Order: sequence, then C-alpha cells, then structure tokens
Amino acid sequence: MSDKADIDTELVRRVQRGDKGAFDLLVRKYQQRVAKLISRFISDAAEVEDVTQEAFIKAYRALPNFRGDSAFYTWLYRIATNAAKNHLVTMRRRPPRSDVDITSGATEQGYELEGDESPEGEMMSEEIRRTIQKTLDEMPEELRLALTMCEFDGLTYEEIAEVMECPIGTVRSRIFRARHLLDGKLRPLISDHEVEDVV
Amino acid sequence: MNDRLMEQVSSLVDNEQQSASGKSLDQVLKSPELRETWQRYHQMGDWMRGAADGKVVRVDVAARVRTALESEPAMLIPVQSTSESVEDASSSGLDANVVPGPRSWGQMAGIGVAAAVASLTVLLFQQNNFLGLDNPSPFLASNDATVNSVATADSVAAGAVAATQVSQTGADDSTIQSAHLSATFQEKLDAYLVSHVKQSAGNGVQGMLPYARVVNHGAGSSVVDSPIGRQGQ
Repeated sequence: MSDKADIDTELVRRVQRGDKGAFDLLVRKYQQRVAKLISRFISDAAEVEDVTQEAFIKAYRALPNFRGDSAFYTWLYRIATNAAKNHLVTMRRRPPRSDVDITSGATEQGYELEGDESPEGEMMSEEIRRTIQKTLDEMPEELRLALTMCEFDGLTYEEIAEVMECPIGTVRSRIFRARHLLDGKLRPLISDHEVEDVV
Repeated sequence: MNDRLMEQVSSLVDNEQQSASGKSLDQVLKSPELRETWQRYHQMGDWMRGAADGKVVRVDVAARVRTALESEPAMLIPVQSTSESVEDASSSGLDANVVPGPRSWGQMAGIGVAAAVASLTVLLFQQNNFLGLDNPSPFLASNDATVNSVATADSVAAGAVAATQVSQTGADDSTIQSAHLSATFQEKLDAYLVSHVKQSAGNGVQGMLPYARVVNHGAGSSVVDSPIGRQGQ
C-alpha cells in the first residue's frame, strides 16, 4: 500500500507557506467524508453543512500547529468530531456517549445515530448508487477491475499492475478511463439536482 | 479539457504521481476546471465506498469555506519538524487566534533556561554567604577581616563572662568583637538557642541557623558554641 498521506502533506506544506488554493483542494477532497462524520452526531442536514464548514475553517486556523506526526485526515477528523460535539453542547443537546470511528464513521457501539435524510437526498443518493453500479457493470472488465482494486481494495498502481500483469502506465490509463466513464454518467445527474435546487 | 491533464489529476487523486510537488499539482491548483475534476474524482470514490449518503451527498462547502477564508491572513510560517499536538489543537477548542508560532516556543525555552541559571546562581551565592565560606558569619563580621578561627569558652556555673578570641591575618585592620554579657542573660540566650536548634531540626527548617552559633551542653555542663561549619569537630 502506498502512503496516501503524501499528497496531503504537500498540500498542507503549501497552505503553511501561504497558498490558500492548496487548502481549497483539501476541502474539496474531504468535505463529503467530514460531512458524513458530522452527520453521525447531528441529524439536521443544514446544520451538518454549517458544522462541516466550521470544522474546515477551524482546521485552517489551526494548521500552523499541524506538524505532520499524524495523518492530516486523522487530525481533521478530530477537529470535525469536536466541532460536532461543541455544536451539540451549544444547542444544549447531549452528544452521543460513544465515540465515532474516524475511518468508517460508525460508532463504537455499532449503531447508527438517528438520521434525518430528506426524501430528495435519499432519492438522489439511491440514484447515484444505481448509476455507479450500472456503469461499473457495463464498462470493460479491465477498467472495472483496475478501478475497483484501487478504490475498494486500496491497492497501489504497482500492485494492480502486478495482479493484472500489465505496465503501471496501463493501470494509470485504465483507472482514468473508468473514472471518465463514471464521471460522464454522474455529472448530468448532479447538475440536474443542482438545477432543481435553484428552481 | 486535455485528457492527459485529466489523467494526471486521476493519478494525483490516488497519490500515484512520481512527485507530489511536481507540475501536476501546480496545474491543478491553477486551473478551476482541474479543481472541479479533482473534487468529482474524490467524490466518486466516496460514493463508491458508501462514504456519502442522502444527507450529505449534496454537501459542497468548498465555495463557502473559500469565501470565509478570504478575510483570513495567508500563513507564512516555516515548515515545522517537531511533533504536533492534535489533542491540544482539537480539545482546546482550537482557538487559532492564539496560535503560538514555532519561534515563540524556542524563545520561551531560552528564557526558561536563563531564568533557571539566574535563580541557581543567586541561590548558590546566598548559600555560600550563609555558610560563611567566603565571609565570616554576620554575627562575627568585622569589616574585611578574615576570620580563621573562633573559640569561645565559658562557664555557666561560674557565671563567668564569655570571651571570644578572633585571630586575624592582618594586624592593622583587625577587629575583635567580644561580648560581655551577664551570666543571667547568657543562660537565657543559651537556653533559647538550644531550644531553637532542637525545634528547627525537628521541623526541617533552617530558620536562623546561619546567623546563630551552634550551642550544645558538653561535659561538665559547660556550654560550647562554635561557628557554623565546625559543628562536626
């Protein structure tokens, strides 16, 4: 397995040198995962979004103290957890007694905290799931294998190349083509919902 | 958009670039379109792994965070190499308006060491004075004379007057202090000193010991006092 923190480390270094654009890439990368984590504590979707934003702003302000001993996402997830707990305290609601697993978002006791998924959101996520599954089923096997080994199994390009008995460059190309196919199917879906939201 | 650039973004998403600090990252940082691609590819992976559900699937705070941080000053700090404390940052509420820089820690450590050395110097100086290593006890002090030996003999029973002999190295500047106290007063003083030494030893308090003669009752109920530093003799 490769050290997936390298790109994060480089981005953090750039932010610390004054490049706010590098922080924007970190936000874009982690916002969904951070939001998912916070949604384990907070049920209201609008509040989840607010606290997610707050967590990233706190992280930005605290970045001078980040020295890279732990992975950036571990550090960020702790900030997000504290932001969610503080929010609950501020709103005079009791935070859950169990901690949340930062890798999966699951609680220690293994139960899901109460959810408040809107019907639209649920419908959209279901549509996304279905589209991803359909696109994966329909794409050439070598593309599907390369992408799933990368995304689900966390294998490096080198390891995938070894499994698929092909050069790393081919793996790189296959993964990109698989993503490109998926992107082509998902983009209109998200755009449609964004238009609906505006209307 | 150039497929080659998109492929580089795909590699960056998987952290599979030869050098993370290379041109690919610079290009992503410069191009709004590549930034969008970077976000979608990460989002795609999150969705595939089920890291996003209906509640958060539409969360996109990047623009809001960008706007909020516009007024924030850009960081211009050197890259730190010592261990970071996540707990401090997170559990302390992350009041980043009060963020000590790396230099301030070094300065604080330097000040701490300097203060410790200064305190130690003062303490040693005082202790040397107390023990009479360089100067005589204040009780016996006389200008700049060096006291070599002090001997006091007295007889309580006889009520004799105490005599103190001080031998000096210099002839002209020598001063001899001798106390002529009445027998009654001497008895009271001796009793007080003996009592004080007992109590201060029991309490572990030095008290006025550096300033006082050590008094004990020797054989024949004679009181022998001696300066500090000669107690064991």
